[in-house]
Amino acid sequence: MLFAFIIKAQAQDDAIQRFFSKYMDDDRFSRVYISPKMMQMAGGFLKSNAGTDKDSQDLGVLIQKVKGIRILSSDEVNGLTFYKEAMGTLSKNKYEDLMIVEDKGSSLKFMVREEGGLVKELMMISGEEGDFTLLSMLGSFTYEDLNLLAEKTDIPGMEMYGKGSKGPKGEKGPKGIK
Amino acid sequence: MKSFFEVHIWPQRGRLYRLGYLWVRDRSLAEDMLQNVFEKSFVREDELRSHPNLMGWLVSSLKNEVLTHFRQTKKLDSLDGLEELKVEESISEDTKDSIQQVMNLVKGLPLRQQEIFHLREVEGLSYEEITEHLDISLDQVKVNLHRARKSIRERMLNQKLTK
Amino acid sequence: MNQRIDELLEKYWEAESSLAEEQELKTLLLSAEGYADEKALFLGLSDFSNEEPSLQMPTKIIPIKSRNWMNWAASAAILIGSVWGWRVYEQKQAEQEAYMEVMQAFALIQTNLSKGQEQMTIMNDMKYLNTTNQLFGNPTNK
Repeated sequence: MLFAFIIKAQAQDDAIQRFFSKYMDDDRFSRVYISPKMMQMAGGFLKSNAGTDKDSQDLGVLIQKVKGIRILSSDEVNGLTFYKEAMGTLSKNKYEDLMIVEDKGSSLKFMVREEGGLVKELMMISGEEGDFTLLSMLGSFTYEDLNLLAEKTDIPGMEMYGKGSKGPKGEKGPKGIK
Repeated sequence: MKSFFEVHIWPQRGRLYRLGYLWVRDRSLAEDMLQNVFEKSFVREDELRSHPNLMGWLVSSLKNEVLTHFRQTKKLDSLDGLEELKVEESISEDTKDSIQQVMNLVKGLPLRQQEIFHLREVEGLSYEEITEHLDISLDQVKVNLHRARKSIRERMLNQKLTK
Repeated sequence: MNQRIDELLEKYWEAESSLAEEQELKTLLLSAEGYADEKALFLGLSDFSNEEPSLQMPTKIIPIKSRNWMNWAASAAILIGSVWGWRVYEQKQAEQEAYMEVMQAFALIQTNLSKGQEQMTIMNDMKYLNTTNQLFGNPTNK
């Protein structure tokens, strides 16, 4: 039921949702879904444990603005193939390229979907042989908000999370909605 | 095997308490504030292990705790509020006379000067250690300590004259 | 001896004394005659330094039940101190787990963004070009 959940008041790109759903039962992929409720809880945790430094405060602001995060990834497929497929399913006119890194055998792209001068979705697609990741972060951000993620800010505890793991195989993702 | 908390944080309780007492002038309030900070740091033990300035974190967490408390009970708006508050607050009666006298001498000085004076005189910290605790520069420590001592000397002389 | 005391006192008021000199000053004052005010000051400071709080050490061990895809060791969770009840504890646990998941996701984004910063190809309008290391600058109004 997770992927049928439609986040209210956010224009969700149907193509990407279809992409997520298509691979829902595919054991090669792992999925992570962080719901609005979980974002709230994360914010609650940060609030009761944060230091007074600016970085913690900025992080709190960013967390508040995120409505949800979805990650689909696999280390068993030819990532470039999926990269192309994912790119193909996107409505080009809704997304603008933010950054592209391409070298031999690997592609990485960040895109944003803007509405009313704010970024409503940050999308990341990366693919190479043996690795594919598709990430969608929904919310209502300014570019300044996203700066926190762009620069290597010393968010307390961030180093613990390292390269960011992408989820277990074959699971529906963590329960997030009550 | 002792936990990180037991080895690095718990032993600081005396020093943190006394600093808290400098701010709030109330024994049980200072204890409560510190207890809260300890509970938080206990939960965040893993993160704090790799924190570059643990003492600085503990000090600013404690101050934040105090400010939050006062914001709720006294409607303080800004960080400067703590200073203003201190001028009004009276010292609780269960304090030793000698300590009361010292508190009276520093009362009304800018908060920064009080803190630096306190860390030097009561805790016996080096300038370097003070910069860590308060997250300020060495110059700031020197200047403020000088000013604090100067003011206190003047007050002592004035007290003498009025006797 | 008084000369030495006066010498040290001057240094002290000028904030030019070292910790060792300050210690010497306090020791000398203890057995000196006069200096009533200075003695009172240092006595008060010394008494202050002996104030200790009566606190209880928080008694618990948290580690958290692991979510499958995070590598934290699973252990039994134990109640936290005498202050929190079980329900609050569970709520806190859930919050912490949510936080970890969010941070993992952010770390993933950050890692990849920095990959790009090493060798960037930025498409699109000038508004995405940066003059410093900031990837996101002020977008022009649309």
